[in-house]
Formats: sequence, C-alpha cells, structure tokens
Amino acid sequence: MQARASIDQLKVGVYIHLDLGWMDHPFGFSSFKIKSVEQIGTLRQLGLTSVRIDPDKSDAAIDPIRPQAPAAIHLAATATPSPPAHPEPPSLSPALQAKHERQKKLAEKREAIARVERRYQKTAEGLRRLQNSLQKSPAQSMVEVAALAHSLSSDLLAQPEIALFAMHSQSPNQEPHAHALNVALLSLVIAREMQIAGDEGALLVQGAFYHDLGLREVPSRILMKTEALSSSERAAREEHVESGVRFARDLQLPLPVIEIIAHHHVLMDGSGYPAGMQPASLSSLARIVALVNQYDNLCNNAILARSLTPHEALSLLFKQQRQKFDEKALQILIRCLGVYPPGTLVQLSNDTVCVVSSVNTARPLRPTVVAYDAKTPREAPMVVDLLEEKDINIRAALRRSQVPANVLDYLTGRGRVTYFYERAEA
Amino acid sequence: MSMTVPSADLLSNHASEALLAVDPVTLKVVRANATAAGWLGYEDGLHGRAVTDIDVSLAGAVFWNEACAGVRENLDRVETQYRRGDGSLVDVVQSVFAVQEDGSDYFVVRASGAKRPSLSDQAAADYATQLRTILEATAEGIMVLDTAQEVVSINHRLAALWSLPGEAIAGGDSAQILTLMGAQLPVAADAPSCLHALLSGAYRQMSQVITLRNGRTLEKRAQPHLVDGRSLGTILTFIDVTDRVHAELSLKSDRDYLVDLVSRQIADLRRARDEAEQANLAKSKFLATISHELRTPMHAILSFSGFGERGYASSPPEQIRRYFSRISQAGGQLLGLIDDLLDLSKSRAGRLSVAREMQDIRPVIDKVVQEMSALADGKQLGLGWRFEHEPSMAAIDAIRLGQVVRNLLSNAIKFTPSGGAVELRLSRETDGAGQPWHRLDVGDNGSGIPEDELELIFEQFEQGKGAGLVSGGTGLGLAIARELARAHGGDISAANNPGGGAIFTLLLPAQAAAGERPGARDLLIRA
Repeated sequence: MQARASIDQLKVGVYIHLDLGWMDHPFGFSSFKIKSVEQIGTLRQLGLTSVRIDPDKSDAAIDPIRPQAPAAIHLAATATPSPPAHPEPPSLSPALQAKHERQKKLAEKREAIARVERRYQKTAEGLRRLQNSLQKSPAQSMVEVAALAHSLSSDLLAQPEIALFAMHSQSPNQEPHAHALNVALLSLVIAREMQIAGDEGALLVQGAFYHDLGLREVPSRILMKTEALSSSERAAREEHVESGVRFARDLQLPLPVIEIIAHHHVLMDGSGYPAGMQPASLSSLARIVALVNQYDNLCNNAILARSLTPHEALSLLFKQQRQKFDEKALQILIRCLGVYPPGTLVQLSNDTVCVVSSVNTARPLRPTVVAYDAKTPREAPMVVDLLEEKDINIRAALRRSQVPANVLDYLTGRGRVTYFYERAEA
Repeated sequence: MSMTVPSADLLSNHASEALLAVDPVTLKVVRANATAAGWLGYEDGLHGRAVTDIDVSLAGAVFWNEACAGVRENLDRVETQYRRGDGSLVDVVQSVFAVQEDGSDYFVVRASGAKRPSLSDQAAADYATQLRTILEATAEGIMVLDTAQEVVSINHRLAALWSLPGEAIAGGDSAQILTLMGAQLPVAADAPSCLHALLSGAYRQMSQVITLRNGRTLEKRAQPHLVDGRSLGTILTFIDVTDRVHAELSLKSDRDYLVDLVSRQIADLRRARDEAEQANLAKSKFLATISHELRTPMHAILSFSGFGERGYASSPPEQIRRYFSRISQAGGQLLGLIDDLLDLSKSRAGRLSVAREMQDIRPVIDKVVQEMSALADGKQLGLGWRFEHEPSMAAIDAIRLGQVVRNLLSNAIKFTPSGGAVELRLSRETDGAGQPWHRLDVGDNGSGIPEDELELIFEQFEQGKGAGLVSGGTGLGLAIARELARAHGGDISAANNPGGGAIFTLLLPAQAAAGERPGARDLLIRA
C-alpha cells in the first residue's frame, strides 16, 4: 500500500520512498527507513513538502494524508527528478559530493580494470603459446616459461601494495592456460603474505604453470564428461599427476617444481592422491598450489552450471574442507580475496541486488557495492559504501542463476573469473 | 490483591525464534531461550558454547572476529548456516543486535529457520513463470533433456502431440514419460530405445519425420542446449506436419493420376494417328490400284475400237467381229469392276442395303450353279451340288446372295486345275447359343490357300500369292462377298481342306425375321 505524508508528519521509523534520482539526494538509497531527525531535516532542505511512505515497512504509524491521490498534481509541487530545479543548500554538498566521489572512483576502477585486463590478456596469450609449443620445442619453451615465471613473480612480490582484480572474461575458450595463470597468480598473492620471496616465488609460478600438464595424456572424453566418472575413468584422470611428473623429469625442471606437480592433489587429511603421502612432508609451495588449484576449480568448473561464485567457493573451503588444506594458506586466501570477493553478487538487507566492486580489507563484511536500479543508468550507477551505510548489511551472497538476466547484465559480465593485479596507490 | 508477574524467561521461552545472548569478549553464549535450545538440540545445553561453533559460515566467522576486536554493529536478517547438536547444518536467517545492559555489552542473536523469499527469488520466479507461459503458448512440442539424458521439462503441446496423459506432465518422471512416448512409436519401444530413437539421426538444422501410432506425423529437430558455450543437454522440438504430409501425398497421387491419364491419352492419340496414317496409306493404295484396274480394260476398249475404226474397210469380217468381241469383253470387265467398286464403297460407307425376304435359298444357289456349269465344263471340272430336301428358309436378298455364291463358285472353278472337282454342299447347324444357321461349303481341290493368307484374301485387292498365277479377277470379289454376307447377318470364311484344296464357307442365319440382323456375327463356327 502506498500513501503520502507531509514532511511535518514524518517521524523516525517511517519507511519512505524518494522519487528522486540517486544523484539528487545525499542518502545511500532512495528508499529507506528514517533513523534520525537529522535525516528529516535533510529532506526539508531538499525542498520536499511531502513524500511517499510505505506503512507496511514502517515501525512508526502516522496518518497518511491524501491517500493514493492522482500523482500528477502532486508531483508538480514537490521536487522533480531533474537536478537543476533548485540550488543545493550548502549542508547537503558534502554528502552529495561524497556520492560524486564514489562514482568517480568507480569510473577510475573500471578504467583500471580495463588496463589490468589488457595486461592480463598479454600474459595469458604468452602462456598459451608457450604451453602449445612445449610439445614441439620443449627445451626452448621451457626456458621462456621460466623467464615468464620469473618476471611475473618478481614484479608482484616487489610491489609495496597490490590491488587484486577479479575479471569476468567474455570468451570461453581460454583453458587450460587460464587455469594455470589463475593458480599462479593467487599462489603468488598468498606467497607474498607468507613472506616468500625471489627465486622461490619463480619456482612456485612454474609449478603453477606446469601442474596440470599431465592432463594432455587423459582422453578428452573423460575430461569433458559431465556425468560422474566410473572408477577406471577416475583412475585414468588421476594418472595425470604421474604423467606430469614424468614430463617434468624429461624437461629436467627443478625439483621444487616437480614436487608441486607431484603433490598438487595431496590433501592434508590424507584423502587426496596419490595415496600414502605424508601431509606433513609437503612443501609449503605444494600446499599453496593445492589449495589455489581447488579454489579455481570450484569457481571455474568445466560445467558452467556447477561453477560456484568466489564467495561460495571460499565458504565451501572454509565450512567443509578446512581440514584438507593448509590452514594458514586458507586464512590468507580468504583475507586477500575477501569474504565477498569483488564480482560477488549480493543482496542487501533492504532487498537491493548489488555486485561487490571493491573490498575494504579491514572490514570485509562492508565492501563497496554497485547497486542495481532500473532507473539509474549503468554508466553512472548507484555506488554504495557499506562502511558508511551502517544500517544496511549484506544479507546473502547470490548465485548467478538466482539473478534475472537483465540485472546480471547491468551488474556484471558473464563467463569465467580471472585474476590479475596492479600496483596500488598508497 | 497483588498480581503475580511471571519471569521474563516465561515470555522469551515461548518466542517463535531462537534467542541467544553472546558475550562479545569470549564469544560464548551466555543465555539462550528454550526455542533455541530445542531447535539446535545440544544435549549439554547452549550455555558456554562458542557462538562460532553454531554459526559456521565464513561471514559469521569474520563478524564474530570483528566483534571480538571491538566492532559493535547490528546485522539485519543475514542468511547463514548453523550447526545443530547432531552435526547437521541448517539454513538460518539471523539478526544480531549490539546492546548494553547494566554497563555490559552483549550481542542478542535472533534466528529462525524460515527463509523469506528474496527479491531475486521472486523476480526469478516471475521470470520463470513468464518463460513458462511463453513455452506453453508456442505451437511446437518442446522437450528438454539434461546432460544425463533425463527429461527435465516438457510443455503441454508435446504431451498433446504424443497423446501423453495429463498426469505425465504434472508429476511424471523421466522414465515414465519416455515409456509413454515409446508406446507411440511405430515399433513400440521401451524408454531407453525411445530415447535412442529421439536422439539419433537428425541434429542441428536437419529435421527428421516420425509417424506415431496416434496417426500424427511429426517433424523433429534436436539441438544442443548451449549456455555460455557449454552444453546443458539437448532440446527437442516437434511440429505437427500431419496435414502437410497428407496434402503432399494427395498432391502426389493427383499428379501420378494426371501423368497416367495424359500418357494413356497420348497412347490413344498415337494409335489413332497410326490408324489414320494406315487408312490414308490404304486409301492411296486403293486409288492407285483402282486407276490401274480401270485403265486396263479401258485401254483394251480404246485400242480395239481404234483397230476397228482404222481397218473396218480392209480387215476381214472375222477380224472385225473379233475386235468387237474384245471390246465387249473389256466393257463387261469394266462394268463389273465399276459395280464392285460401287458396292464396296457403299458398304464402306455403310450404305450397302440388302432387301431381304424370307425365301428358300436352294433355288437361288441352284440358279448360280446352272450358270456356272458351262464354265466348269469348259475346264473339265466336276461340279457337285448337294443340298437338303427340306426348304432352307432364310431372310435373304436373292440377287445379292446370287452374287456371293457366284463369286465363291467362280473362284473355286478358277483355282482348280483341269480335271479337278468343285463341290457345293448346303447344310444346317446350330451354334452354342442355340441359333440355327445355313452353311454353304464351296470346296475345290486346287492348291489350297497358305495359312497366313486365309484372312488376307478377304482384303480388297488382295488375291494372295497363289492367285498371282491365275489372275483375271479384280481382287475385290471376296471382299464384297464378305460384306454382303455380313449384311445378311452372316459371314464367309476360308479354310484348307485336309484332303487338299480350299473350302469357303458361307454362313447365313436361318429363319431370322426380315430386316433383323442377328447379332451373332462373332459366333461363327468353323468346321
């Protein structure tokens, strides 16, 4: 039921709808429950004499005036959606300015994403070529892979601050080098927090690049199979570890790299493969790769419908698979990606559907989000900093299938998630 | 009278939600209502238990971590998961309030298992309903299979096309639906075979036609169900093309019929054309022959009259007399030929009329025999004439009958060598339909007629090879004789006498009423 109330009638606890553009008022959302008298004052300063209220959502009851009056007459008297109608009172400017700031930041962030994406594409393409030429000219390719690993590792580990970007790629045909690069990058991010440096980092990256090489020997019908694998098929798939190790030995890769390949499916509770490995004897590099490998496989499953969102993947790892992986590495992964990693779709407690745009690492439950609003253009959307909107919290993370296609298009792209980094401004 | 006031616990223990109080420093539960205890079911109670043992989600772990570090914020209806006493996980909506009482900080947790439909759920549900109505409005039967080849979804149109009962759509499982569809296939199939039949063959742009037992013909298309480049299964669509197929078949049969009709008509036309050409050819031949035959006696007349004219004064009278004789002879020949031609053309034109009267045919035949006896004598032929003693009555034209007999007899005499014999015999017979006939056999003992000419000689101008030796006739005689015989309702045929020579047989209907033509022309019986 909708009704209108005059400004003078408003009290704390009344749920109101502002029929203004998001940029025309300083509030985080255009619909909210009044929580302070200051907010009523702000409404007055906006020049409103009456507003639309929602009695069902309000805590306080008031008698609405003019129930369901033909809106046409009334709208003329109140503020119209076009901004230049009246000058902004000075006390409103900071709030509105803050909004501008946030939108500007989002625009910058989008530019940054575009930048990072270009660098990512370059690296990904280079890796793809190298992986393909590994069969034809192994010695030469190996050297180039080592060089790539070294440059990536040294650059990322040397940065004082990095910003991690999660991107949705448009093209589906990027595996397996996309997976290898994701694993390499996230492993580096964890390694960074673990104070791993220099050459070790390069070895870690090489291990990440080569870890699934043995999959080439597995028949594609097993790899592509969508139904459950029979036990012989599973055994064939698990053999990729052995064939990967053999290949690595032929290439005479360094021992730590071979170890990563050999152990990337060993789990800390002994339930992985090959069986019989002592978890305690695993190198820290192998443990990192094992965790990150699992995380990326959860997020970017061969069957799109089975892919989890980053949040779901982290939740699963945390809730049910904690004991299978190195605890410290998992903690760092969660910390770096955030509880709601960028790109996660969430629903707020006021029912708005949003996408997480950047994480406040100190307060991972209160990221900055971009909200879906049909009335606000996609190019200049609503950007809400949950640190500032204390009354609103994230209610739940959403699966992509739960979100209607038009909302999905507004908020985010489709396809698999890839990661890359950029040096952050201090 | 004082009112007793129950404890606060009495009220909170009847709340529908679970209520917990948590100490922010230790993160342990310090108080819980009965609803919480009952719902979460920890045997040794909730008191003193770490809240992170209960709230096991990642977000929960972070929240309580921050709370421990001093953050005092509320949570409004967050979805999370609790672990119950038996280890099971349950979905929960919880709200958390940072409160103070008597200077101490607490977190009050309010949780319930009910899940409110979220906006996106509602929107998704609306969207799904929208899609569903579109799916039901289409004219195609649609079936969606997942990657495990289980039937995920069918629309009502498909059920209608395949005559599936209503329950199949509502609650039917994949195997049941496939079994019902399999029963409709031309060769009844079980569920796996039906699936195989549906998925084999056509793919993508190609279509396949299936005829069902319920009489429908369907056009089936199968396409992979692709989302973001990955296959989620297969989509089958069916269109009812029964009418179209029937129309095609009917068109085809019409076309075939027309083709047949046209080709038959062409054949008829060809035949008619051939016959016309042959008739034309025959006519030309006839004309050529006639002019020749007419010319021959004409020449004789002209030449002998020319002789007479030039030599009547100088030639002896005997020679003159011979000239006149030859002219007379040729003239007679010419007249005979013209008569024959006239008769023939009349009979051809259907205008050969015979004036038939009921009379005894024996005298007619007898008269001809007497006429011809002199000729026979001249060749020293024996001429025999046998007849019955009772009257042989028939409806005849005496003159014409005489003509026929004369022709047969003169032929017989002509083709019998000297010293031979010619015999006429008149008898009576009855055919298979009980009709009485008069039969006149004229036999000679000449060389006979070659088998393959027995009919040919009745053709006009045909005299047969054998006749070439003994010519003098026009070749029309037998043709006319036959026409005359037929005009009397009878016929003439020729056969070879086993004893040598030929027999010509004339058949006349006996005692038929005047003017009536018995329709027994085709019932002639040969000896």
